[in-house]
Amino acid sequence: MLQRAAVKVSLTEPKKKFLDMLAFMRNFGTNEVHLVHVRTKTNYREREKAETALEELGTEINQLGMAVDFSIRNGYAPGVMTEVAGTVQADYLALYWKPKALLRHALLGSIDSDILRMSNMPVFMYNPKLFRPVVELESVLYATDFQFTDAVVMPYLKSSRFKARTLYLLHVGERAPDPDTEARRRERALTNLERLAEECAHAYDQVEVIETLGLVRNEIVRQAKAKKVDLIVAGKSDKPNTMSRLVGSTAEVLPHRAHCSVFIIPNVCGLPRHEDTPDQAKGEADHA
Amino acid sequence: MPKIKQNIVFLASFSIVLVLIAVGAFLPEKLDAWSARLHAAIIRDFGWTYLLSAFLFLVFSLYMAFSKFGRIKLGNDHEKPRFSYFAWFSMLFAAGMGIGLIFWGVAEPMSHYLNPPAYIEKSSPEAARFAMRYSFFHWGVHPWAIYIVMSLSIAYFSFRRGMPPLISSCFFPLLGERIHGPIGYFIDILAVFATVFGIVTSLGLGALQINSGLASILPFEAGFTSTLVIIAVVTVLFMISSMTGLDRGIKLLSTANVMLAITILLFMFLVGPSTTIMNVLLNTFADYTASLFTMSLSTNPFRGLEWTQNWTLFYWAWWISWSPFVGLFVASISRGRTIREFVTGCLLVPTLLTFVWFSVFGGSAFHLELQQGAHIAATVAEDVSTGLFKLYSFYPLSSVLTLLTVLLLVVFFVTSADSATFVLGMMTSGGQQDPPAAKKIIWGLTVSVTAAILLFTGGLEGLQRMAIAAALPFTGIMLLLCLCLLRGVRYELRHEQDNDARRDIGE
Repeated sequence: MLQRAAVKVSLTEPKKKFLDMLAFMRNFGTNEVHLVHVRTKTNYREREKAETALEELGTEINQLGMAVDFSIRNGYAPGVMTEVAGTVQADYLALYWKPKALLRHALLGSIDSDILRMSNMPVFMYNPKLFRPVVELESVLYATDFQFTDAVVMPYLKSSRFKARTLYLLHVGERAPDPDTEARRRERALTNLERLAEECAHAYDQVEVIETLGLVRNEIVRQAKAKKVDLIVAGKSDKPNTMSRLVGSTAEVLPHRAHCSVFIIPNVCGLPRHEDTPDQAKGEADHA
Repeated sequence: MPKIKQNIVFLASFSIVLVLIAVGAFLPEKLDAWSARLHAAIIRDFGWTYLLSAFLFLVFSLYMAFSKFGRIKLGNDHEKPRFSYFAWFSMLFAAGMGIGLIFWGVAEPMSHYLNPPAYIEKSSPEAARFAMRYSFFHWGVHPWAIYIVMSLSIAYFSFRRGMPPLISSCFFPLLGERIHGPIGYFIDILAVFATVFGIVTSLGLGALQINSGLASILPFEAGFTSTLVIIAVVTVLFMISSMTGLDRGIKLLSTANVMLAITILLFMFLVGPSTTIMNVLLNTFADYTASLFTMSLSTNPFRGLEWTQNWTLFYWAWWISWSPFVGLFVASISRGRTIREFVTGCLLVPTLLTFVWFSVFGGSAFHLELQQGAHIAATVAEDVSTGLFKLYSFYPLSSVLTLLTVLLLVVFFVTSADSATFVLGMMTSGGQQDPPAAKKIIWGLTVSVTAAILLFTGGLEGLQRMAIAAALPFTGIMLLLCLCLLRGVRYELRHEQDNDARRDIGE
């Protein structure tokens, strides 16, 4: 399901942390990576230098047990990245997330944000911790609104290739206008969360449900921090409302605010390929 | 709910009211000085907040009416309105504007004519045009937009969502169960505070006008004793009306009064300078609509700021402080109407009647002032409450007109005080639709006795300023009300009506 990844590499990333990201990606069952290095303009010497660096990087990635390929392209990074990812039939895009200062982000924008906005495939943003390398995937938080994204995201979470010990299922609700309706809304939300928890129970040691109220983006970040999760998984609607168009959707804002890595699965991804359905994965696991 | 918790708003607000009344009674100069300082500071530093908020309330009201939320009913889906259109409009008018309009119908245009902002020449044609335009503006759609925000929120959360008709109930989408805690109590206490002081000052000033009206046709000298008698009579009347219940008392008095008002209006129009009145109405209406946006946001910082502070900002603050009472009352008579019907009804009908009223009385006064040198403006400058009676003195049957106007004033007073005691009773008994008689009597007597005491000691203006001071926190509360209402209706359309539609098609 998430075997093949197209990874953006600028060659300015700290190598150790970049390799940590690839090691982390093994938790998703990734075993093939396509490194994509994009430049606005490249002369022969620079290209040669980049090729050498990518080859060296590739050798080290091979040692992690992953097959590596790379390409160097000229152009506008977000556009090229999404195009290459499609050409190489990657299952998702991976970015080494480098947070930008507010002013710099406001003035220059962010390539990674643009990739996230433009991409129609899942995007993984690795948040390298300053002191503690994150290689193992202990806990995942999935923020659900019980809408269409569940159909897209749940197959990934249920897949036995997705290795994590604890799954937190979070629903951030909107308070109903009166106490009776609010009680019914809460009850419905908890029932839905329990249903999702049951569906995922086979793939994790522990599944915990959290129902809360508030601003979605704030609550996701707050709960992720409180539970010390390693990864936030969230869906992305392909029909943003007016406010989202202005200030960015929750999915687009999360990487800036979260203290951990983020996996965004767009709505338009559709369901994973037939052979990757949980039953198939379960069969594979049994066979193994 | 435990009894003490149910009465916490009553006990707290009653105690605060008593303390402030005691200050007004025993230390009127101090109250006057404190309130003047507070009032001046608020108008100087936060005046623009009132102007901007009133404009936002107008935009919000229009949005609620003409967006998809407009079709939501203030009640159950198939509920019918409790009152006919005529009764509804009459009660809206009586509670929201009636008494003030009689007081200011002649006085306000004349005051602006004689004392316009510094950049307009006094007693000039331009001043007359300005006076009419701003009279329309101060009594036009903005006050109603303020009332609408309050009443729409209360009506939606109580009749549609089944919560008690309290201002604190509207905050459920924002505060949740905390509305039953200190924040909720604070909101309701502030509402009681503004209502009591608003009605006390209104009753006091109105009693003065009734007094001067009666003194102009009856052989007695207007003094404190006669004012006291008027207050006592009005009190007995509104207590009787209050005990008969909302449906009968206020409805009967309001419809009768609006009919009486329309009769006087028609008489003044037919006997007076009808052509001038029509010219004034059309011209001012055109001026008003053309400059509505400019007037809405003009604080005039480079010219005439003081005039704006004294009039427009004062009015906006006064409407806001008056809004908890009118809002609760208007909500209670609007059950069963859709949001669109409610907003358009409240914005258009009383406003149009107000415009006609100002054109008839203001236009007639201008006609006499400009054509016959009647010195009505000078009379208003001396005593605001006598402007209308001075105008009558130029008309045939002036004594009958004065008597009818006094009757009109008394009845408007009775309806206002009646609805105020009903609203106060409701607010201090956890939102009971039929508040206990004891509470209505306590509030009724408190209001009347306070008005009498403060008229005697001269602390009435101080109390009015305190009511206006309460408008500042209330502006914030009302802005949050807009947010809460928006959340409520959005939730309904997003989560509930979708489900209903799915159920209907059998999904």
